[in-house]
Amino acid sequence: MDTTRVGARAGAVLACLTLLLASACSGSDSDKEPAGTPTGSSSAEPAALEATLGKVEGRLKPAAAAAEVAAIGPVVDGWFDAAYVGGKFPRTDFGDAFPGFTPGAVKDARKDIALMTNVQSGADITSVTTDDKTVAVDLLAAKQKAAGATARFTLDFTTAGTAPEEVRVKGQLFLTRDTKNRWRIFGYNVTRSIR
Amino acid sequence: MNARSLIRRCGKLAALAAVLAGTFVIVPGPSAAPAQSVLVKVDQAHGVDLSPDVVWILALGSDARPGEKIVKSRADAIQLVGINTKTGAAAAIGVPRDSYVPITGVGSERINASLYYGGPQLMANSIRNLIGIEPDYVVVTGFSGLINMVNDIGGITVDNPVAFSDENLAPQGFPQGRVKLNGFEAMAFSRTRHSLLRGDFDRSANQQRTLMGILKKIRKRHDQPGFIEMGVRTVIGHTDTNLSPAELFKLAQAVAQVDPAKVTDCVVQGGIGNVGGASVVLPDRALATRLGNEARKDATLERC
Repeated sequence: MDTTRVGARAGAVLACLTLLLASACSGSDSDKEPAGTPTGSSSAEPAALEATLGKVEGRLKPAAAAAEVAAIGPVVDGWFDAAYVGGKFPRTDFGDAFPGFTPGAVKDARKDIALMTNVQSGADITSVTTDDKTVAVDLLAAKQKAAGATARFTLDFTTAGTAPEEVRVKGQLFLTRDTKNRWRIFGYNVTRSIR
Repeated sequence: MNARSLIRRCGKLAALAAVLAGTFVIVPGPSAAPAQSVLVKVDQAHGVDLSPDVVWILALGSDARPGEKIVKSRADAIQLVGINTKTGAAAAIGVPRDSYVPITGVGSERINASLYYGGPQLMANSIRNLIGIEPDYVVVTGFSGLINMVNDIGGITVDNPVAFSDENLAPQGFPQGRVKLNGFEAMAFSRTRHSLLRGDFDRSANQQRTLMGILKKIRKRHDQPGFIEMGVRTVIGHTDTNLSPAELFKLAQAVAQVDPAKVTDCVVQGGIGNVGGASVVLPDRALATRLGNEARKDATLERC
C-alpha cells in the first residue's frame, strides 16, 4: 500500500493548501474553512492528524495521490476541529460545525447534530484533548485525476468537565470536488461511542 | 434540475455500500470504571447530499445478443427503483416486459419495445406514462453485464419461494429456499419465465429477488477499503454513460445507503390478452398509478 503521512513536517504545506482553498471561499456555511482552531480552555497539545493513502482505484500517479491526501486531510480535520475538539469550551454554539461540507450535506448533518458535533455535552465540557486522529483516503481515479474519495477516519478525544468522557467518533466521509475544485464532503456514515 | 435532463445511459451499475446498521456492541469500559464490560449503544448517523432526496432509477435488462447494442434492443427486465437518500428506504416496482401500452410516436406495443424504438429516453417516457414517475436515471445492462457484476461481488444469495428450472438456462433448476447464485445463475434466475406459474409476473418478482441479493451482498462488503471505488471503476470501464465519474461516485454512494430491511417491492399485475395473435400482458393501470403515487415521495410501498 502506498502511504503518505501528513504530520508536523507537512504542516506548512497543508496550511498553505488550506489557506489557498480558503481564499476562494464565499458566504455559505459549508464554504467556510475550519473555524475551530483550539483556543481558550480547549485542548492542550492536540494530536496531529495522520493521513494515509488507502486504496486507489484507477490510474493515478503516486505523487498525485499523495497530493490528494494532503488536500483531503485538512478538510476532514477542519470538521474534527469545528465539530468536536476545537473552539472554546464550555461551548454551546455549533452553528459553524461543518466546514467543507456541501450545502445539502450541511442540512443533513444538522439533523444529526447530536452525533455530528459535541453539542450534547458542550456546555458541560471545560476542555477537550485530542488523543488520536487518523484518516485513510480511498481514491477513485479516472483519466489520471481523482474524482471521488472515501475518507475512513477515527477521532479519539477526551473531555474534561462535569461528566468527563473518552469518546471515539469513527466512520466514513464521502467527497467529490466542487465547481471551485475544492474537495467537499457530500455524505457521511458516522458512529460515536464511549471508549 | 430538469428530471428529463438527468436521464442517463448506462450499461452496468455495480456499486458499493456503506452504512453500519444501528447496533449494540460490547466494548471495554473506560479505565476509571470498575465494570468488567459495558453494553454501549453506538449512535450512528448517515446521509448523502444528492438531489432530489428520492432518486428514481429505471433498471433495464437488455436482451441484446453479442454484437447488438444494448440500448437498441428490447428490455427483458424492467424495474423502476426509488432510493430515499435520507431514510435508506428503497422501493422497486416491476413491470412485466410484455405489458401492452401506448408508446409515444409508435402506437400501442409491448412496453419493452420502447427501448428498441427510442432508447432509454423513450423507455423512461413509457414508464412515466404507466406509473407516473419519471426516472432520474436509466441503467441498461446486458446479460454479460449482470453476470460480471454478480461475479465481481462474489455471488449472491436469493430467497426462492418456488422450485423451478429451465431446460436451456438452468436445467439443474433452483430449489426452494435460500439459493446461492453465481453470475450466470443469477442471470438464469432472472430470465426464466416459461416454467413459472405466473410467467412474466413471477419472473419480474424473481428479478427483484436478484436485486435484493445484490444489495445484501454489497452491504456485507461495504466496509472493505476501496469497495465503492472499485465498483464505480468497473462501471466506468464497462459502461456507455454520460455521467461524470464524480456523478457516478455520488450515485453509487446513494445506492449504498439503502437498508435491505427498508426495501419494499411490487410487480404491476394485469391480465393476459391477445393482440394480433400474440400474447400480451394487459397491465392494471390503476394499480400502476397507485404504486407510483404511494412510493413517489418516500420510496416506500405500503402494499401491493
